[in-house]
Amino acid sequence: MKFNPVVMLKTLASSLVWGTGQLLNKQWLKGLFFFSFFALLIGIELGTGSYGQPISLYDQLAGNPITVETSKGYVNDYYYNLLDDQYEDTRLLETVAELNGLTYNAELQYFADENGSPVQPESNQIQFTEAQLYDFLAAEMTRIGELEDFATDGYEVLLDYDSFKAFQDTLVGGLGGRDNYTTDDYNKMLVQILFRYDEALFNRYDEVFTNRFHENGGFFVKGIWGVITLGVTPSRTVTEHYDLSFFIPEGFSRRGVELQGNFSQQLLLRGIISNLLLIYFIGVYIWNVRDAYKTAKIIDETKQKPNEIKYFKDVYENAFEYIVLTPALFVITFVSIMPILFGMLVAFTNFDAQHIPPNNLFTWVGFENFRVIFSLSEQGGLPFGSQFFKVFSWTLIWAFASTFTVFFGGFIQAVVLSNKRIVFRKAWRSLLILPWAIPALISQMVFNVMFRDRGWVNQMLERVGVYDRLFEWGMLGRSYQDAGTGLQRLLYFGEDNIQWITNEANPWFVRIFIITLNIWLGFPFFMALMTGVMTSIDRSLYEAAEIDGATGLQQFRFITMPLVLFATSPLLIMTFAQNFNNFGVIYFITQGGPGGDFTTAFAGQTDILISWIYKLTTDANVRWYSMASVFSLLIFLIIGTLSAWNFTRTRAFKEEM
Amino acid sequence: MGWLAWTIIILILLFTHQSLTHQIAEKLGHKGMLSGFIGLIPVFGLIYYLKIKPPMRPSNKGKVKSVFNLKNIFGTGLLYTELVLLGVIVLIPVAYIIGTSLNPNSGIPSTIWPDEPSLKAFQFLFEGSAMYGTSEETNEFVSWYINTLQVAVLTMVFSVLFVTGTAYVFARYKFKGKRAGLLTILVLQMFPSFLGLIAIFTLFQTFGLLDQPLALVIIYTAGAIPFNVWLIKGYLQGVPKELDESAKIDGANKLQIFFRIIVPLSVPIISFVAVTQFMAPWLDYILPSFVIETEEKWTLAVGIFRFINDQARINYPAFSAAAILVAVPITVLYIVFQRFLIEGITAGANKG
Repeated sequence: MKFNPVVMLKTLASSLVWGTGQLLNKQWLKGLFFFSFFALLIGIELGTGSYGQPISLYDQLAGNPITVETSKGYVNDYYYNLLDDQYEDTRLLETVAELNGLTYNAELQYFADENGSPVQPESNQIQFTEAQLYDFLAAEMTRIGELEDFATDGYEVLLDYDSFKAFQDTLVGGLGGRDNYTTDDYNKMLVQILFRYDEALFNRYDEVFTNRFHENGGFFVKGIWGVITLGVTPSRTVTEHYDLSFFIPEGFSRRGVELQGNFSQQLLLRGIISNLLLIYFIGVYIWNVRDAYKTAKIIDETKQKPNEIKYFKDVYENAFEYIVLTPALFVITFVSIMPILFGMLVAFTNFDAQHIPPNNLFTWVGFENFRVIFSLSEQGGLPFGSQFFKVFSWTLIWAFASTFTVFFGGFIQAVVLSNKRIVFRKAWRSLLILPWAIPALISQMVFNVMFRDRGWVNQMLERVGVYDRLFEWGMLGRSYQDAGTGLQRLLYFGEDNIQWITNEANPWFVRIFIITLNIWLGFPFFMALMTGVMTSIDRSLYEAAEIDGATGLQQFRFITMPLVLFATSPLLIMTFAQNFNNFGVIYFITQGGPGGDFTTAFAGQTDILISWIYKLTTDANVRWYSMASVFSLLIFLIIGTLSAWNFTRTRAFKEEM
Repeated sequence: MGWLAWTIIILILLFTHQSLTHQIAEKLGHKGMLSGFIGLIPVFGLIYYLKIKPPMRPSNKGKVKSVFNLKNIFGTGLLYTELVLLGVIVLIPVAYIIGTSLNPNSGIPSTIWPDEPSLKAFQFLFEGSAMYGTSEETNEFVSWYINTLQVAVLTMVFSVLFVTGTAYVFARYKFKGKRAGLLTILVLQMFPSFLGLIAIFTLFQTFGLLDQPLALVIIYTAGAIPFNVWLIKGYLQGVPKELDESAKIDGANKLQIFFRIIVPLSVPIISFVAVTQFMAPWLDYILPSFVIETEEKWTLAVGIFRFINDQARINYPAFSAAAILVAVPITVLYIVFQRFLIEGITAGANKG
């Protein structure tokens, strides 16, 4: 390829500022098109960022931001009212005097005792001389013109006029200010004053709490920074202002003020979103650069400018599919794929109960969580490793057993239904399909109620005398330790009641019960499916078999069974995958129980992976997100691979190639 | 419980009788459903076909006799024993929940049918409060219902909008990335959307959507795309491509083909998707339970489960009544759409 400086220049131009290469190609429309994307990208970044603005530590104070504006509020109450028509300085002095059992002579400007003779206040309450107080108020009056400075000066004012505090309470209270502010507000004001006053302290916090990327960065820059660092500053509680707590009016107390740290999970989420969005922009960018290059080359070779309108028309016709797909693609990217990505990434962090931002940030830990699981060790005192393999094997057993029972349960029922002797087959079919039609969520909840320790089923069994038999046989009425060995233990139903879903001593009883109960929920689907397949089998096959002297059993064995199983077996993998993740049966019937506390890392005896994940995620006392994500990731790998593999074998997929 | 046992035995005998009557009627050449109904009249049914009604075609005594072969009677009886027992097992939870909903006390009933049925639970749901025992209880059932209804309608509308166009493109066009797209859709379809629960929670937190039922629509809509695209795509592949091509020759562009030909032809499947999407929010518990805190903002599934799970508001009749109110319409829809639904589910695995 010959190196052509003009073509290269145009390409370079586009790769720096999108659309400029197109402008050099004299394609205004295209230039505008690409430049608008560039402008959008830059616009988002600048619009969401706050570049060039100073960073203020005060923005990090939790809750309502404490700003000069907020502090103005105090000043308002403190001074404005004071200087309003009714509270002129004279009035203040009168108030002060009154509080001390004195009077104030406004004309001659001195404090007087009962007898009207002037006094020089020396008591604890009034340490100001009249002149001092007057000076102070005068100074304050001029300051009110520059309230913004209050925060700086206020502190010194308060310190300088230390004794002013003595009646501050009364003043603020009397002027109706305190109702508007909470303890937190007073504490925050003090922190603010403290920060303005004590520069060293301020800098110490400032260094940690004002991060340029976090405060100024826009959508993309902050996003990338967030994913890499997962935040750098945990929350801290400022208590240094306790030194000043004597400024807090009566009725309020000192309290730590939180400096807001980073929310790692939000940073991660924003990071994923912005990076995903960036991928789309990169797509346009590559298109832009390639277009600049290609067009430049065409112009160079043919000395003619290609028609832009035609180009866009072509693009529309050729990219019709992509344009239609875009909305769905966006929604899927940000609502379906993003959470999965998020989960995958959390699996490589230590986002658990001991690292809940913003007080304790979580951070990247690489394969640590996986190491914990596969080396069967503990994390945070919870035995995740050993429990994982326990839960995982039960999940596999559950998935196989429930798929198998449901599949063959449905098959047997379909065979029964297809028997020639059945009259009104459709009515029977409609009746038996009910469990499938009733929302599973509802039936599962109903089962939960029916099979409780004192639920209806047990009460009924007790009434009809089944309990007596069970007591006789020792399946009930003894503790598990006394229940003997081997088979007797396996058939241990409970102590006072049959513990269908709570039998902690004999979890296999509960597990087998759940698998059995699941047949009720699952067989109708396969029954309906297989009766459909059976009616579609070519009748002539049976006729031919009959002529050859095949018995009914042989017809079934060699015609019905292979055909039905062949037609429905692809569904086995799908059903397996569904059962693997069959949250409802486990959660709504047993809630994962019996058992499940910190000794088992919160995994109950019937918990399958997905219900364990749910517990680890949603239980406010557990919150072990990192492990939940590791398990999600493992499920994703297992089920995703399985279904993708299953799918690529189907005819439909091969036809798409 | 004796009555139940007797009912079962009587039903088995009745249906066996019905079947035998039907078998005889067939052997005697009577076609149709009539024999099934007549067979439901005990004893008379058999006599009617054996003695009273003249056979339609010259019967072979041996053939009729083969019906009364012990093996056949036994087999028929066994078949019906299985069917009746299964039917009872299927119906017991249904009967139980109806019985419970009519129970005037809020505890777990000990009998399947209350002694004094009352509609108190239903009243409780709609009026918002009632006395159970000594304490007054309240609920927000009507708010839950309205919330769920809103979410359901919006989910339905958005899902259809997003799904149809996407499915059309996948069904009709070949383009770069189609395979990857289909594979992605298939894999995503295998995942309950709550696997990304933490992320969704954080997402809602970040954008201030927590505690807002309508925000659920976003998740439901996105979650609906994979499976339903798959479904409609399968349906559209059954619509002859010649229709598109002739329209194309007439000068229609791809968008016109979509609106003038594809959409009208796929009204059944689109309405099916609309119905299933409408149903979905009524049954989802996990997501709303995690992101919605305030009681009056819950959706139905959350509220219903609290009736049996939250110690403070345990109320079994209310649970049952609410469950019935939710389940009946959905069950009916499922029965009506059963062929469609089962075909839809199998489409992915079999035909694609």
